Amino acid sequence: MTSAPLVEFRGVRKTFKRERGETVVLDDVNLQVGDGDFVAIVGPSGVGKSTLLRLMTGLVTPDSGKVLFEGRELRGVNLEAAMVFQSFALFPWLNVEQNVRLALESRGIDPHVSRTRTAYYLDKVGLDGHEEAYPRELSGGMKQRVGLARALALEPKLLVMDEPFSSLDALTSVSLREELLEIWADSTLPVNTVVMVTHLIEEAVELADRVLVLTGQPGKVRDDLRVSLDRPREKQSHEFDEIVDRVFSLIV
Amino acid sequence: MFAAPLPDTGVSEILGLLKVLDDQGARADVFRFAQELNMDTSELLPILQAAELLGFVQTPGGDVVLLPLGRRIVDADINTKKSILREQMEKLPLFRFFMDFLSNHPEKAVEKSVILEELTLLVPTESPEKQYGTLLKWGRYGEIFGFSHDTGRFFLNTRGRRRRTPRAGDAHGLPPANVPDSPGPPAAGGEVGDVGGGER
Repeated sequence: MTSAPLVEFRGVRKTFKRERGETVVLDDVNLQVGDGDFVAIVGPSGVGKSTLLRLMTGLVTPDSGKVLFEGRELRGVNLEAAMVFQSFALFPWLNVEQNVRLALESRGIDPHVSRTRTAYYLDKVGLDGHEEAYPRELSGGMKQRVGLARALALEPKLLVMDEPFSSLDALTSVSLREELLEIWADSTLPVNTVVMVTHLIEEAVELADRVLVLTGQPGKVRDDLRVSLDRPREKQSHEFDEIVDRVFSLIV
Repeated sequence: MFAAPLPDTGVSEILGLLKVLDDQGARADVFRFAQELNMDTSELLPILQAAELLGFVQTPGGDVVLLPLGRRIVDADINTKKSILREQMEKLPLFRFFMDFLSNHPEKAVEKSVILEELTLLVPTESPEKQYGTLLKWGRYGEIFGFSHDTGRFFLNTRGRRRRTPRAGDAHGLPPANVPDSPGPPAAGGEVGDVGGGER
């Protein structure tokens, strides 16, 4: 039981209904995510990357095949997973603290616990001092830190991120990537498994231990590359370039 | 009395810039640096100015050079980054002015309009709304200032672990940063012209 991977896909197929007929988005997808992995999913747009993430969170169910979490088939929403969105998905009428607390209390967490936990995770992402700020007052980078704190505060076994940095400017995303790695490596935090979708190959190679390459219509796992470069990774290095080129050649 | 304006940028951009500069060997030509980042020099400029104002870089003749403190903040963890930024912000005349201004206020808070009025006097060449926005953004990150929508007031952040003035042997294990020559806390009254005395 404990030896089961955290996430496992077995022959997963997902179709979406269209006006006429249906589109197969993913077909015969097989993959495993182990506890402690940092997996990046790359591939051309429309290949089903986001659908794959949503299958892990139980927000979407497969038409055939199985999605297993810790060896058990997922039925309904996966309460052990939390999501960080490209668009931040914060409630504009709630301040920073309330945004995080709402996520906790909507999962039935006691208000006393949610208050202290919210404070703890806001501190972890460097957001103390922003408790009463509203999303409209915050830069994109700060909004995404709120999104991250909200996901972390759920203390999920699996953190899924859908293009978390792609609506941020170049320099802001540099600082957020750094902070994400710090949080992932922090052994005092319960989250240690991350699955992230990105369209930036360099980002995938900079952050992840494994890069899953999705290609085709319908999407399939074309390759599963291990990135064993030491951290922090030297983006200027030859080895880094080599891996980026390899992933690139698989997609094009 | 006039104070140096705050460049219109945020903490995330400043930290990102320092990280990229560090990756590139701590020195770069500003123009080429902007090109590599796919940025206009005019977009990069306020971020560079902010980094310089806070003591993380210098920009001798068209280059940008990472200073030791800049290197230290790149290597630091999230909360140490925050402490370093706070200490640097607390040395800025504009920050010193409003820290004193608010601490002399019984409620440690004033209407936003009061801050705007002061900013008009302190940095007459800049848009007070923009200066206010930056003061609040930076001040929130440094846990120095805040703004409450419930009360409509700009306030001095007196909660948490921060204290008024960075001093030798202070918390967070940081070496003393630019301790003013005079011992003890800075002179009361908050004369903006005086607080530049923290410079070496």
